[in-house]
Amino acid sequence: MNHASSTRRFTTTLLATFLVLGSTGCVDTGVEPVELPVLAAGVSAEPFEARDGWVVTLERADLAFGPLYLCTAANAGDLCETAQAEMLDGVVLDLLDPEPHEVGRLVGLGGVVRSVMHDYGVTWELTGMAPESHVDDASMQGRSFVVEGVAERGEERVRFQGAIAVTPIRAGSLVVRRTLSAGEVTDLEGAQALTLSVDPRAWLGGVRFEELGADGNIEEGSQAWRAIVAGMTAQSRPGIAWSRD
Amino acid sequence: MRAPLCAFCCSFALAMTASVAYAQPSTPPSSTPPSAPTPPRLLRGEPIEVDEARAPVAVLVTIDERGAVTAAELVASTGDTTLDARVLEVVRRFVFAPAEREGRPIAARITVQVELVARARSDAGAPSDAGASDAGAPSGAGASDAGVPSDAGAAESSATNEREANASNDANANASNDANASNDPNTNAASPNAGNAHTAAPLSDEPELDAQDEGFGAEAQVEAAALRAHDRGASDLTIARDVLEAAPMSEGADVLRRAPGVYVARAEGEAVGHRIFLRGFDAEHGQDVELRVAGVPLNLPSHLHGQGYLDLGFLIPEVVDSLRVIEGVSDPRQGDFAVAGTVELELGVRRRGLTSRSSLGSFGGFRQLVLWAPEEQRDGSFAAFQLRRTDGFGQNRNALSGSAIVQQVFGDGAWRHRVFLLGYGSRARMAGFVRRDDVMAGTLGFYDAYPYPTAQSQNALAMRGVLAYEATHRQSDGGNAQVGLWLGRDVFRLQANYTGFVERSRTNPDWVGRGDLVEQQNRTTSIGAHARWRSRVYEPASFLHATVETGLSARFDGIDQAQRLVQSPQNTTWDERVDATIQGADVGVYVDADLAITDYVSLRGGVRADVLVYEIDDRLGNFIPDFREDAYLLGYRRSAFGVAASPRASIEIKPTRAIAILGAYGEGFRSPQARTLEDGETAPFTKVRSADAGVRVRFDEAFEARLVGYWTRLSDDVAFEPAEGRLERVGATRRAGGVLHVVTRPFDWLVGALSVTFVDAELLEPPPPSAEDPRPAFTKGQNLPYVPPWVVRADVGAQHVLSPSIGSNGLGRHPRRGRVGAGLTYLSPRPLPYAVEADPFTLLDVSAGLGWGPVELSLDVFNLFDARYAAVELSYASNWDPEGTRSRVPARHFAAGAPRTFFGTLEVHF
Repeated sequence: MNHASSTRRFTTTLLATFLVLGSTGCVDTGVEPVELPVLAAGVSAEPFEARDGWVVTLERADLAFGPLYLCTAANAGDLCETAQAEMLDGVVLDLLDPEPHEVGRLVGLGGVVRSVMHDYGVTWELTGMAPESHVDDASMQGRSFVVEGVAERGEERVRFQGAIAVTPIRAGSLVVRRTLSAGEVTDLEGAQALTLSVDPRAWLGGVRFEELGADGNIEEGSQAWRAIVAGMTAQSRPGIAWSRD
Repeated sequence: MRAPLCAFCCSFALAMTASVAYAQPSTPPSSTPPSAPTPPRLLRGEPIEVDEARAPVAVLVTIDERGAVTAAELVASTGDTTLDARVLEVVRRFVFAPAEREGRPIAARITVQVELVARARSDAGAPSDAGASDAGAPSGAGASDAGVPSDAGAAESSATNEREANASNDANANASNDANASNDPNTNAASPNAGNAHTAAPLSDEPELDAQDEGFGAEAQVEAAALRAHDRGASDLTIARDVLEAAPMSEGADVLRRAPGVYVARAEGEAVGHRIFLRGFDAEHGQDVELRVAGVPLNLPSHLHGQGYLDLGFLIPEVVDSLRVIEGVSDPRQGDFAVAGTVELELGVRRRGLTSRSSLGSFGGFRQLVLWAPEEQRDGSFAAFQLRRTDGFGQNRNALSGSAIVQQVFGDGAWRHRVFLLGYGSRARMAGFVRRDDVMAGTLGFYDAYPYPTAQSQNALAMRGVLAYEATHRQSDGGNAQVGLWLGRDVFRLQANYTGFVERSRTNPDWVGRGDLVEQQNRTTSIGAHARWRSRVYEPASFLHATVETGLSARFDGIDQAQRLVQSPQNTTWDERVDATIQGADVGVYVDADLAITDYVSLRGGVRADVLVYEIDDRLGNFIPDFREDAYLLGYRRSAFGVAASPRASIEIKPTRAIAILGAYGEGFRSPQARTLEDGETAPFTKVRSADAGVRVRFDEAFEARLVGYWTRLSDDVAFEPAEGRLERVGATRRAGGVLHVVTRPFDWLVGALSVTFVDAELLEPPPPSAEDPRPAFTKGQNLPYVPPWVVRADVGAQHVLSPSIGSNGLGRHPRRGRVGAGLTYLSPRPLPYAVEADPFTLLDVSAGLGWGPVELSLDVFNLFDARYAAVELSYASNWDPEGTRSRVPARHFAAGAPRTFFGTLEVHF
């Protein structure tokens, strides 16, 4: 084999390699982000028993919800500057509808989520001067939870109503931050839907209805207000369930 | 995207096809390039007689512009020190007609084969007569009449013929400035087996000497070959000037793009260091690439904006003579930051005189270059000044910079000296990174900046000064020694906002939402020195030749750095993140051996050890959060010490003259960011283990190709963290891939180069746990972010005389010249953090020029097809909507690459 032919063969191979590479290189192969429906499920409007023998029947239980962040850190909060997925819209959940129904979309990236944090419709952004509702629903009155119902104990009957705002204590913080339980931790890859389960009965279960005023209003700072807020933010926070392939 | 690539493929194919026809070993380029010098001719010599006839001895002779021998050294000893000394003494008295280039006498270096003839018994000790006794003398002159000038051309002897042929080869090689040519041990006087060489050595190592040395420009590199061999593995290559200037360059850093696997982007702005990708490494601003200019290491250790920070804005492309790239670690001289490899820039100006280049271009672009290269001085001596300004190709991108580089090379005889001075300053406004979803939604233009004051205030300032001195001494026995000293001062200030509005003040947590304009200040004062000694060639056996080199390098850095959050436009400080002073020292020593076992096998290698010492005064260390009661004062002072030992070796096997099989293994290190060290910590080094193997095929000057496979493992890699604007650890990594590099010169007027680099870069273990992510996600085989698996670069350049001279006076006596060139860069899709990928892009730059006498007009077009591309793309969480709900999901952010840009240039040469 002479040098000329070997050089020609070598050069031809190089050219072919270059052309193949070039032709395969002009494709946009960007990866699409994860996007899942967020479903919400409340409870039936059946009467339930609260503390001290009160039987409560809810007539309205609307919850402002969001934004929602799912974090890879075990502890949400300051350690969740970067989230794996989020639902930024504030939505209103009818907590008296037990059937799961879509309320929003969760957008994010694949990966394991271990904690969650969210607001109840009232958010204090880092760039905001004060907490603000970002739910576009006038019936919510800029509050987080609007509830109406009747509590009965024997002959006692209290018609109650309240509009409760659960607000962050400082700019940039969120009102609910919690570590997911073992059953709630998941890898977003392969997840089909996120279902939020919210039970308002647990929030009202600690209310001393006898302490409500004659008008039945749940005033800010009252025992009822505190009991409901405690339930919303600590004792009975929305549950998370995943639908998978 | 496909159009520019395909168009370029066609043009490159032409060059390659041409090389098929012309790149034959038996048919070297038909003539020397126009600037090729004529070799020296021997005018006067004298015979060397010995008692008994012996084998010829090769002597490397340096001849100055007057024809005098200024240095002589034996390529290989005769084995008799007395005779060695006598040979050198006689050769130093030789007189030559100097080499010439374009009619101008220049210095040169050639190898002379001196035969040692038996002294006539009847006339022992007497000066030899002409005829038999002088047949082997180095010159015909000596044969005819020692001491009397004669016409060497007429006094033909075998030695003379050979010498002249050698010198001619030498000149050709030098004129092409192909340092790779020295990789051929048959032509490499530096190699111990070069005693067999019958040609003068072409280009080679010691570029710092090259540029400074003889004043015959590229020819000077001949001498360097005598100092030390190149070829530290398959990935040690030199990019010659003709390849560097084939395609247009928008700035000095573009010279790096000519190296295989290199992509350089100036994503953040004119006054911020380039982002460099090299063979599977996202070297950020230089953390993985050691860069030296004129022998001075330029990486800045423990820089706040990035470890090993480099800003190549000072570089003036017209003064870069060649580029040596060692990809991987294989040479004991490679020091800190030589993780992906080392780049050495050689400076020199071959076209002597005064040159003015004025350029006007798109977006208010202006560049003025004044380059003075005194005729009577060596090519390494020059002074260059560059001024650049631009309004920027989009919002908030105007910039102004000035750069001055002065290099003076002087010295006679065995001594050579170099003084190097660099001054640079730049200030630029920056558009910063923008969210791709904002651009896609139409809320922001592709080349826009966010409208908020915190974004509009982004800017950077850079200043750098370097003063260096170096002396080289060539010893009479063939050894050589060098010592150098340098001083440097670097000032860096950056105001950049990567994340929008997500930061909270640590000092007062109620201070929020004022914009994440991070201000970084870094000031480094450095003093450094290096010294080395290389032995003569030892010949313990007839088939074995060896040299040994030992050297040291030392640097001491004083670093002041601060990082704050600044609110714009008031420019008030609302948080302090870093306030530290660092004292660092790096002392490295190495031993290097070069063994030539027959003509077919060369082994090179040694060991290097570096000692690194740090003292850190971290004035914001032991930070006290606002919720904790003060129980002590702020501050954390500490010190650390560490040693890195790094063996390195390479082998070269040459079964034929055209083919070489090359391999190398080496270990290197990257020093730590000092502020991450704990007190008393044995300074952790990022340990790199690098291996490569490949084959090189070379057919004279016309065609060279190499195919290399490589593997690199890092013990502890880092990646860019946008929230803090600096690098964070990510864990151990591994890269494996291959490189194809081809250079072809089918005609004197045409050069083409192509490199294709593939890498599979993986994270080997989960990143170190953090509070935010105690169990970082990790998938076996997970790709490293930012690293493009494929990088392709191709360059084609042609220049030719369009019409000959048409008279003897005025412009008519000058021929008209034309040149065209093109460069193509392709980056494949590259993974980003959080499982997304950046888009691929292809860029095509073209240029054309027409010259007549001292005047040349040229037009450069960058990004000819106006591709919209992200010069750098990142993925992280940000919030650039202060009125809306904050997003915390990582999003793709990019810094736009420049659109199609025109530059017209008028050059006048005096």
